[in-house]
Amino acid sequence: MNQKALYELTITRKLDEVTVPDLSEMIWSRIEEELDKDTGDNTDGNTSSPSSPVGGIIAGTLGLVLVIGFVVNYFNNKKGNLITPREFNNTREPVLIEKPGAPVKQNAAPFSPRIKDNNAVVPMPAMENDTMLNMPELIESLPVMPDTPVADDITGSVPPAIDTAGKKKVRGVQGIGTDGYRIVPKKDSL
Amino acid sequence: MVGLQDDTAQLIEGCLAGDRKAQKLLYQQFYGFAMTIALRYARDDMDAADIMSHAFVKIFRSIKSFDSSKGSLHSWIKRIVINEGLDHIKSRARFSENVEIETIAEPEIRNDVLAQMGADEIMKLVQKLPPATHAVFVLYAVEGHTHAEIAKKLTIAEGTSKWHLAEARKILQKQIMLLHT
Repeated sequence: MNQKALYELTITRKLDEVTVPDLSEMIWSRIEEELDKDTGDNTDGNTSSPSSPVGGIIAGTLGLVLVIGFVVNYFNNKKGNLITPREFNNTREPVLIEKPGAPVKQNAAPFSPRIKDNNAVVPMPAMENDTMLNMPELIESLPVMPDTPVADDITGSVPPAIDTAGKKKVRGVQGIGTDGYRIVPKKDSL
Repeated sequence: MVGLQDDTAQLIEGCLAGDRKAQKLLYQQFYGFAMTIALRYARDDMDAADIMSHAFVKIFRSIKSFDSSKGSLHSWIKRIVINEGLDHIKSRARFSENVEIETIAEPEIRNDVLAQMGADEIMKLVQKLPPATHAVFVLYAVEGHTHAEIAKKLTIAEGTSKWHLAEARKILQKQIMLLHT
C-alpha cells in the first residue's frame, strides 16, 4: 500500500460519495440474458439444450444424402447412362451406316438439326434428293453448341425408351473433319 | 458460511443452485457498492453499466469459488469489478512505451480546491483522463496500490506506471485550475 497524498485521500473520499445512476434494471436484463445462455432458458421458460444432438443428426443425414447423391451421379455419368446427343446418335449408327449407293429410307418422323456449326444437317422433306445421303457414315459432331436446343429435339424424335445397354459407345472420333459428320435420320431408329 | 450474515449466506446458497431470484436479490444488494467502483474505471454511466453487467455475470458464474474464510463477499465482488474495469480500460488503452523513470516531478494539486468540489465533478475529471493514465491513477491514488503492484496488474514497467501517475496529476491540476480560477 502506498502512502497517499492529502489530495488523493480527498479524491478517494469524494469518489465514494458519487451519485450512482439508477441503471439497475437495464443492467440486470443484460445479466439475465447472459445467464440464460448458460442454462439454455428463454423468457418463455422453454428449455432447449444448446448442445442438442438433433441438429447435428439432421445435418449429418443431409450431408450423407448429398454425398451419396454425388457418388451415384458420378458413377452414372461414368457408365454413360446419360443420354447425350452424341450417344443418341451413336445408338443409331448401326442403322445409319449405309452402303455406298444404297437407297435411303425416309424417316417418318421429322428430325431437327441440333448443331449449328459446319455440319451439314439434312432437313427431312428434302432428304431423298440430297446427295449427302450417299455418304457411307453419318456421325454427329461431338461438341454441342450452347444455343442448340438439344433436349427438346431429342425428346421429340426419339422413342421414350432407348436402350443404350450393350451398344458400343463411341468415345470420340479422331481424325475426322467436319465434313465427315452427317446426320441422316432413319425410320428404323425411331 | 463463515462470517456472513444469514440472509447473505442464504442468497449465496440460492445463487449456487442457480436460483434466478436469489441472483437478482444479491445483485440488488450490491448494486450501489459495485456501481461506485465501476464508475471509477468507466468513461461515463453507460461504460459503467457495461462493466457491471460483465462483472456480475462473472460473479454468478464463479460464485462457487467464493470462500468466506478467505475474505468478505464485499472484497471478493470488489476485486471482480475492478478486474472487469481494468479489462475494459485495457481494451481501449495504449500504454506508453516502458519508461524507466525513477524520479518524476510531482505537480502539486491543491487540496483546498478539491475539497470544495463536488463528488460528481471530481468523478468527471477522473473519467476524462486518457485510458491508461486513468487506470494507473485510480489504482494508485484511489485503490492504494504500489507501482510494483500496478505494473504487475497492467503488465507494464514500474517506470511507466510512475509516468502515468505524474501525467494524471498534471492533467488534473490543470483542469482544477481551469475550473476554479
